[in-house]
Amino acid sequence: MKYDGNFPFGNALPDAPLPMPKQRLENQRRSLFDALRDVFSVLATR
Amino acid sequence: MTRPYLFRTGALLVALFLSCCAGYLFLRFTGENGLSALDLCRTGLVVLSSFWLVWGGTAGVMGVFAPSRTASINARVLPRGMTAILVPIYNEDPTQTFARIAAMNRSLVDLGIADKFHIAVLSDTQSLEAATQEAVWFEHLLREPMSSGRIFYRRRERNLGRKAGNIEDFVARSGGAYDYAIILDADSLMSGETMGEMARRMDADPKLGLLQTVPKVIHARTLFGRSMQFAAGYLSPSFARGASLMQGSEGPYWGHNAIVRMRAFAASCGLPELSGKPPFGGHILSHDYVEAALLSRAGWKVMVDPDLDGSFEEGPENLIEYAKRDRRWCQGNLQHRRLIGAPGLKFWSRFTFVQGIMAYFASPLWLLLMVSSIFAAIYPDQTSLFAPSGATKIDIWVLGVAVAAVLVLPKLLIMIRGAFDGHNKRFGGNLRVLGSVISEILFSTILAPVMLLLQTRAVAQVLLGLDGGWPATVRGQNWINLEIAFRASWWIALLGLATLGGTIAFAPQIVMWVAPAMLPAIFAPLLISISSKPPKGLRTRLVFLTDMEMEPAPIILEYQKILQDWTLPEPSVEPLTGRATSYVPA
Repeated sequence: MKYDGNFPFGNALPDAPLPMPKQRLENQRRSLFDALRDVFSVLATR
Repeated sequence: MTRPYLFRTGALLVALFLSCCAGYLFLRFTGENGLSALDLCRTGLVVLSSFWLVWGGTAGVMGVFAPSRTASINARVLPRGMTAILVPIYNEDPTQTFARIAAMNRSLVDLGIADKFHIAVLSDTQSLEAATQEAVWFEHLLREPMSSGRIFYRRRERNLGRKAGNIEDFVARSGGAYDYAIILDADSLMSGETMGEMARRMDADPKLGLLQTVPKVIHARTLFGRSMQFAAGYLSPSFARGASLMQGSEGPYWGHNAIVRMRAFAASCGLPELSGKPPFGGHILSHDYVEAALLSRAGWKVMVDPDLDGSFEEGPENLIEYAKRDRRWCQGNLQHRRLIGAPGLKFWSRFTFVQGIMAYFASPLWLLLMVSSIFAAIYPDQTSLFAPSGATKIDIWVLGVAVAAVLVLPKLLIMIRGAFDGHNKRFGGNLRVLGSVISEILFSTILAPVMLLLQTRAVAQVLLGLDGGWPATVRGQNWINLEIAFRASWWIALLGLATLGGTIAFAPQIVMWVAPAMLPAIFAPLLISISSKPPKGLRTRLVFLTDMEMEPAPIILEYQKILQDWTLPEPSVEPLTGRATSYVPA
C-alpha cells in the first residue's frame, strides 16, 4: 500500500503506518420495525 | 471541572436575559397600537439575533477579567516525544512557504532541539507548474542546517479528502514514527520556543489530546488586512481567553497552529464521507471542529492557550479574498447540521456546531429583520392579535444604543485592561490604541452591511445546494481595482440602491434607519477597492499598529531575511547530490 502511484515523492517519509479508522458520525435512521424488534429481542432474552 | 459549567451557565443566563430585554424594548417600541403577527415575528428575530450578539460579547468581557497565564519557558529543554511538523500545501506560493519552514527549522536548530522535530511538506498541489516550483524551492530547503533525514516532501496527485485527507494520509503511512504532530497551514509561522513548549506540554500531560494556539496575523499591508491584523492581535486573545473559560477541556481546533497527540488523533479522528451529495454530504469541509469534537468524545483534553506567544499566520488582504474564504467556511459550518446529533458527542461539541452555524445564519436573520421592518412601515395597518398594553412607547434609539453597547463594550474593556497591564504599550501606547480601536469599530461597522449581504448570499447558495468547491487561497494579492470590485459586488450596490430607493418612496419615516445599512452597500465596490490599498506614509503607523510591527519576533525577522536572500538572486536549480533520502523526483 505504501508509496503507490499516487506518491511519487513519498519515499523519504518513515514507513510507520498508523491505522486511522473511520468514525461513526451519522445516526443510522431506524425504522419503527427496527425499534419493535429491539424491544422484543430484549424481552426474549429475559 | 465544574468551573467551565459555571462560566457556561453564567454566559447563557446573561445572553438570555439581555436578549429578552432587547425583545421587551422592541415590544415597547412597536406595540403602541397593539401587536400584529408581523410584530411578533420581528420581536422573535430581535431576540434570536441579540442572543448570538450578546453571547459573542460575553466571551470578550469574560476574557478581560480572566488572568493571563504567561508561563516562563525553558526553551532549551529537549522534549521527550518526537514531533512531526506537518505543512499541508495546495497550489500556494512555494517560495514564501518554504522560507517560513526554513526559518522554523533554524529556530529549532538554534535551540538545540531540532533532533526531536521532523518537518513534512505535504503537497496536494494539482498544477504541474506549481509542483515543479515546489521541487525547486524544496532544494533550497535542503541546504538548511540539519535538513538531511529531517525535512521531507511528498505530493499527492489526487487531493482526496482535501486538507483532512492530506493529514490523514500522512498519519496512515508515517504517523507511527511520531508521538505528536504540529499541524500548520501554508502561511503559518511558529517559533522554535513555542513548538518546543507545546511538545513539552504534551509530554507533561498524557491526557492532553490537542493544544491550540491563538495565531497572530502578520505581514498585512492593506487597510482591510491591517484592520483584521490589529483585531486578531489586540482583541482576539481576550475573546479566546473568555471562550476558553467556558470551553474548559473541550476547546476548539482551528485546523492549524496546533499540536495533536498522534495516537489519539489517529484513533479518534478518521473522518468518514457523509452520505449524500455536497454541499451537505461528501467530505467534511470544516474538519477541524469535528476533529476537536471527536477527540473530546474519546475522552482526550482539547485545550486552547491564548497566552502562548510565537504563533503566526497571514490573513486575507482584501474583502474579495475574505469572502472567498468565508464562503468555504460557511459551507463547512452549515454542513455541521448533519453532525449535531452524532452519537456520543459531548454537549459542548454539539453547541459549538450550533454556534458555528449561527455565525453565518445570523446575517440572513438580521436582513430578514430589516426587510420585515420596512414591510411593517409600508403596511402599518395590520390586524392586531394583542390589544395595546397602554405602556409608554420607547424611542427605538434606546434599542439601537443597546445593540451598539453590546458590540463596543468588550472592546472598550479590553482597552481599559490594556492600559493597566501594559498591553497597550506593546501596541503603540494608550492614545494610539484608542485611535486603532475606534478606527476598527468604525471600519467594521461600515463594512458590516457588505459582509452581511455576502454571508447571506453564501448561506442561500449552500441552502440551494450549490457546492462552492475548494478554491485555493490567493495569498499576498492586495489591490483590487474598481472594475474588479464592481464585478464582484455590483449586486450588493444594486440591492442597496433598490432598498434605499424603495424606502424613500414608500416608507420615508424609517429612512434614518435604513440609510446607514444601505449606503455602505451602495458604495460596496468603492469600499472594496479603497480598503484593498496599502495606506501610505505616516498613516501606516498612525492606526492599527501591532506589537509585531513595533517589535517583530525573531522568527519573523529570520523569515524575512531568508525570503530576501532567496528571492534577490536568481534561484539556483541545479540538482543536489547525496540528498536523495529526502527528496526523490518522479
